[in-house]
Amino acid sequence: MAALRRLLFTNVRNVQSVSPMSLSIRAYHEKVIDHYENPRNVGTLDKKSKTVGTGLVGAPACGDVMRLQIEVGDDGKIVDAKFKTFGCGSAIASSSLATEWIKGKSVGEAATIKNTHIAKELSLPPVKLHCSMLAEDAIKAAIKDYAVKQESLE
Amino acid sequence: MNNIRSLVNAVQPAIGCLAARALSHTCRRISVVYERASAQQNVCTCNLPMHVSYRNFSDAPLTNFDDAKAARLGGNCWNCGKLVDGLSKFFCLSCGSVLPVNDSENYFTLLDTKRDFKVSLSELQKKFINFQRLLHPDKFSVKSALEREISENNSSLLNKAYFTLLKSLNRGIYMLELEGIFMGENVSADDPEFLMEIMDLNERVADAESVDALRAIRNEVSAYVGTLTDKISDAFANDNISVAKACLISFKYYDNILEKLKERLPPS
Repeated sequence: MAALRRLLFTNVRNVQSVSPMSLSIRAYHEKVIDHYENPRNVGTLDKKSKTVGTGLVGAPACGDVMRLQIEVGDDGKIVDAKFKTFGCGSAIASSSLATEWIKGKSVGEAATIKNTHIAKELSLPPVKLHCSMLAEDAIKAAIKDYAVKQESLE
Repeated sequence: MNNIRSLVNAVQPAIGCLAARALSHTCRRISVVYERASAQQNVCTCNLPMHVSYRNFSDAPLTNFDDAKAARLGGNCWNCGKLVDGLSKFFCLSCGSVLPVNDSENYFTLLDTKRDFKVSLSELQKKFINFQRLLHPDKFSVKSALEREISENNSSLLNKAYFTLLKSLNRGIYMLELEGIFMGENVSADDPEFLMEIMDLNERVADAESVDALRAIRNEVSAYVGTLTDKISDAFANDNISVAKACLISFKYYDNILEKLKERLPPS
């Protein structure tokens, strides 16, 4: 009986206690949370208007979709921008920030915005870099759509 | 050792497998090997799945996981040193020890399933449960540290395999990966009409006010998904990988919508 008990307990593993301080916590950066809770420029512009460019992009790997629209004034400056994104918090924050940045810029200046700038501003971790790429491509797609519309007018 | 073996063999029908195993364990871990009913699974004559380790070898068994893995790659059992039968995935047929899985295995071979987009979910579940019955770490609690580590790895790998093959989207994406095609982090503005459709569906889900409205959207999207899975199945059957990939990308967008609906709808 004693031998049996010894046999049963000799192989019990030692359970190490894990201190909560040693666990690293991965969380959304506060800027991302801010954009998520206080979204700026969510909405739609009239797709059919000649001064509106609509960019629609998707990320196949995660299934996120992003729509970014710009309204361009006569002076070639972006007077209004609206977005709608269905995806993770980083994607929403990236597109929200993008609309904030491009307002007031000329179309040419807006085209120079890079995903790395967005990612840096939001402190995006490497795994979420493609979300900022989505925003950069959405800006470019909106500009391209506007350009195509302007060309058809001339 | 032979006396113990014949003793346990003699009393086993009377006291049953579990008691016989306990008896052989108390006899200083010198245990007996039961004749297996099938080549792949260690099944005792009473049809309870079990295996026991047999120590009757000249060289000392390996104790390090990486060494055991290397031995497996070379085709040998880490415990008895014998050549591993090609049929056995998880256990050495000579001594019954649990083995690290070979690198050549994929999720389909691990679960004994034909590599195909269409799988029988009930069969898959049966196989998964049967293998876990043999490999679950709880079954190895009195074994050596190496055997526990091997069983943990195998059990975890089995979990990954089962839950990947369970959902058709993940199964399809895995099948693409087996062909060397990965989704990648690229962004695309291709097919704007499809993206617009996805946008619309998402907006309808966000604006939906009633459970009925949500259910209607779910039925609609499930219908699209049904058509897609048929297309994907045909594409894989005809080795049309690019079509399969395009369909799986669309599937991913629809699946996200279905997941959102699942969150909002009461379980039905």
